[in-house]
Amino acid sequence: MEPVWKGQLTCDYEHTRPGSTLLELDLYTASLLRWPLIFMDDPRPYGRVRRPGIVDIPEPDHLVLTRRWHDLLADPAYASAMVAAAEQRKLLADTALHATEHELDRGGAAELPLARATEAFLGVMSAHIVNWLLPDDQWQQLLAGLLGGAADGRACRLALNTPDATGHLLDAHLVLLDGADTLTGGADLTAAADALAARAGTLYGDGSPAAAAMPLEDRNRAAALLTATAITDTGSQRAVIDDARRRAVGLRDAWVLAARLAAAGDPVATARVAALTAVCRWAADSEESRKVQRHRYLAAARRWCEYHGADPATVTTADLLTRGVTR
Amino acid sequence: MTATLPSLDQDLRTETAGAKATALARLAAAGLPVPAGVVVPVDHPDDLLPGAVAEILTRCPAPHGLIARSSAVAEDGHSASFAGLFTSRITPAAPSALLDALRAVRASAHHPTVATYGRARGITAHPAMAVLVQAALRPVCSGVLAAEVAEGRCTRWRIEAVRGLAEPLVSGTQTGEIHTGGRGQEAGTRPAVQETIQLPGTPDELDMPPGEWVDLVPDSGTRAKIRTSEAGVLHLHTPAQLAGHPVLAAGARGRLLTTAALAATVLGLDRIDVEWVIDHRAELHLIQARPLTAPLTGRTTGAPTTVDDNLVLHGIAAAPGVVIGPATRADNGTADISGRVLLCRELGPEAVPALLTGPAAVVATTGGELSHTAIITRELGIPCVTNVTNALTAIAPATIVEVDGNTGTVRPTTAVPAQRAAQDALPLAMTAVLTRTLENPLPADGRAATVLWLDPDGPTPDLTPFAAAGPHPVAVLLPGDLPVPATAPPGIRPIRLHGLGTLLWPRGTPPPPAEIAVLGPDGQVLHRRTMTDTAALLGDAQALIVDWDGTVADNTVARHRALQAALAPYGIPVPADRYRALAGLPVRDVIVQLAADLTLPIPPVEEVVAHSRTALLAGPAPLPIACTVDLLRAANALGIPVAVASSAATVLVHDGIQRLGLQALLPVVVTLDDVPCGKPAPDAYLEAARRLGADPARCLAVDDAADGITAALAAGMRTLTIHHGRLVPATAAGVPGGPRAAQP
Repeated sequence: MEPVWKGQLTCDYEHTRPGSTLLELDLYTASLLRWPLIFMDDPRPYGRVRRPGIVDIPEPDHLVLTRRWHDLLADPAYASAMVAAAEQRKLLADTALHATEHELDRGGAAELPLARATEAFLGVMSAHIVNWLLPDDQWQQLLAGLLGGAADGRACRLALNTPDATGHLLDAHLVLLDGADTLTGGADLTAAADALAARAGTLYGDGSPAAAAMPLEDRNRAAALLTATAITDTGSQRAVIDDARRRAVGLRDAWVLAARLAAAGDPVATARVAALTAVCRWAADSEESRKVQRHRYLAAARRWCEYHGADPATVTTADLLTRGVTR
Repeated sequence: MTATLPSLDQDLRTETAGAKATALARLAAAGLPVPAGVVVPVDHPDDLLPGAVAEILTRCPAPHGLIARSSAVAEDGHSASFAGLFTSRITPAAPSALLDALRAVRASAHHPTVATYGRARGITAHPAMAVLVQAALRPVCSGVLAAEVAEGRCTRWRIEAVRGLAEPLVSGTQTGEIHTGGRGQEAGTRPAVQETIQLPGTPDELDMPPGEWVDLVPDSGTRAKIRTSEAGVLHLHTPAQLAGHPVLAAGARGRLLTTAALAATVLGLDRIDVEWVIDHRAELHLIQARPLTAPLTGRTTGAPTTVDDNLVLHGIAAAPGVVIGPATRADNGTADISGRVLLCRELGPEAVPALLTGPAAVVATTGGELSHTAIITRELGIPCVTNVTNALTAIAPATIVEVDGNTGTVRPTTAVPAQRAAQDALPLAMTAVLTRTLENPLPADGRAATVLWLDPDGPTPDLTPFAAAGPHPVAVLLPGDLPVPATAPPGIRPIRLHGLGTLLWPRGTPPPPAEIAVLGPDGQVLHRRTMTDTAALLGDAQALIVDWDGTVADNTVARHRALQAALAPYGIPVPADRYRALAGLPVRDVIVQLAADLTLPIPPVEEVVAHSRTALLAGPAPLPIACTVDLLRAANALGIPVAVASSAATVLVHDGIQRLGLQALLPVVVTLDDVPCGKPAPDAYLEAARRLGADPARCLAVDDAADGITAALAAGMRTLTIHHGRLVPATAAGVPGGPRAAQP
């Protein structure tokens, strides 16, 4: 977010996400406008799109909407409902993405599934605001006051931002280790490479799969990586990951308990702690799963463009939504 | 229009045109590259400024606006530069804006800081101020040069360069690319990352919103995005394609050094300080030249692996921990990075095998607390700082760096990191450990009890362990006002803990310990609270007055370290045992005693005390003392006013309150600075009661030390002290409080 200029703030994804295709920029800007609707059922748009990639937000709108959201986030009932709704959107997007991938795999046009996936994933994408619109300073102040110092407040807040599910980077590596282990067990390399490419292929490599395939979408490269990994000590790698994850989640849960103990006896603080711990955990999970879904969605859209002879560099969410409707 | 204002192409006098304009006129006359400029003299009447504005606008074509610069008579002298004290202002070439700028520059002569600086330098005359107005240049780069000059050459020099205007460099908000060198010495360069470039804008450019593009250099094809604009200046995101390119090329540096040496000769200086600009035609301009008032330091840029205090890189604390290790790059193909600090833009799944080898830390140039890099490092327990935008350019591979994932800093170092885990291994004999699940068997770590947290939204816990014999009692904590469950076994008794909840404690076991704590995975105490009924302790108190050190804050370790640091330059060690033995003495006596122990000369005591205070302020935060902090919270909840009455330095108490986040609980602070006599005199406690508007006889005091207890009792207050982590009554006859820690 750029500084306030003549009474408005600007979100410039062209700057923060250089090299993005129009579709990527469109995903961010279209979903940004809708976050008040998605998270608060508030129809007021968060600013206006200057062009895909750039959104201008009048400062008064920004202040009103974020203050309202921050007030809501202090209520554990709202936090719980918000998290549950977000989980539903994630499941919905997952289902739609599976349907799209399945249709593309079998050589179909996939217009309706991709339109559904686009609509569903735009809802998921609105959660990208957790990167800068959560009331981190308020939470830090609350936790520091409860726990007896800024350092403990910060340590607690960081630990709370640990996802329940294994983060996507470790998870992708575990998928690789699984594949390598099946090879050791005598499985077919081609099948293992197919599985790796399908499950984690879009996550390896720099950039995104919007305009060009990621390296591990190529089954030959996936096979090479599997073969190389199969001769390493996969068991000890898995043990290190499991142990580290157990420990990280244990630390997070201990800090949750510490914050609850610190707040006990103060109903307002207890409620705020309950709300923020739920939101932090969800935010970390959401950021991890959103990345995986985003790459799946972009890869699917690129494959759709290849099928229809469209240019993946210039296709927009409106194109994909409209094509689905007209079918 | 007739030209009435003097200009830089004339012979100017310092008394009327000020030092800056006069020096530049001399350089221009000598043929050196100085941009044209018009001077509003010192004695130009205020009411005639509008006329001066009209003349300037006619005489100075300014596509990128104008710059009005201070030219005080006293500035740029041999002993006092007044650098940065007077105002310079970029302004659109419009009458009202220029008039405002002229007035602002003239007004800066009256700023109190100017008078203070002048007095410190022995200049008592009021600084008369002329204003030099020039067309704003649109620099490709600009900067400052400090040089020693002999025989017409720069013999030793240091240049700092940035892209665009030098304002961020001069104001200290941006570190420039640093060039150093000298006679017989190879030139060295230390690059810097510059995230934004400031440029004077055209009216059209200044009307463009953030996110739009402007040409950085005309016809070069290099465009930059607008981040924002204000006061006639564009703030642009530095284009990615400029990363890794030097700001000041070797050829331009050579021309700058030659020109600076000529300027020094013209001005008769052997040490010169120059501000310079290079425009898009690669032409050099001198915009200020003055005597160098501070000598060049011995520091050169050297190799980037050397320790440099200036090079503390700041980012976002992403995964906790403080570690030291050699830096390595993600792109160097090293699979085993055990013990190293991995520098990267961000982490991808390809990095996981290397991460599993146990790197000391990760430093990423992008990302925040919720970035994928942050999340994986937290999952793997690797300290991490993200968003250190210049990490890849500022830290060379193999540089030894300290990464502080708690505060978000990275710095080159050779030192061993401070041990900061002061509360890691505290005994648990007086502590109940709170947990959400019962381990089987119960941990035998010496804890006084295990307490199961009853989650209001969770299932009813299995309370059968009450009946089982184990190494310690097992209890249940119902937080807040939760009712006692009907299924609770008969062998328990509920104990109401005001401000905390209800403890279901097994009958037939020793009474509950004073404290309850939550442990982390390594058994470290994350948080602790007292389990005594704090509200009952307050009784009918009208006000609560607490001592600071040893009562609210445990500073023992930090004070010891601070004194060690302060005495280290004098070769006087401070062994922990000896420090503890001397703890009852004033710190000045401790210093003398420690020197005497080793028959060493007594160091300058006041300097040591001051150094110790500084080290204490820079050191780790104190630890909160749970029983007192809970009492403060209970008082706050009941609306009972609270004050601190301490013999410690005011600055230390306020710093500690801030660092413990207790500002709201401790708004009133009385220290030795506020009263004639310190403890054991009652003055501090009486003054605190007075400030709270409370009758001393109705005040409750808490103090951990004998002299403080004596002071509180002498003030007529009911007094508590701390005994084994509990608050207990203190009396003159039997004072369980110990000696006070040395107060720096």
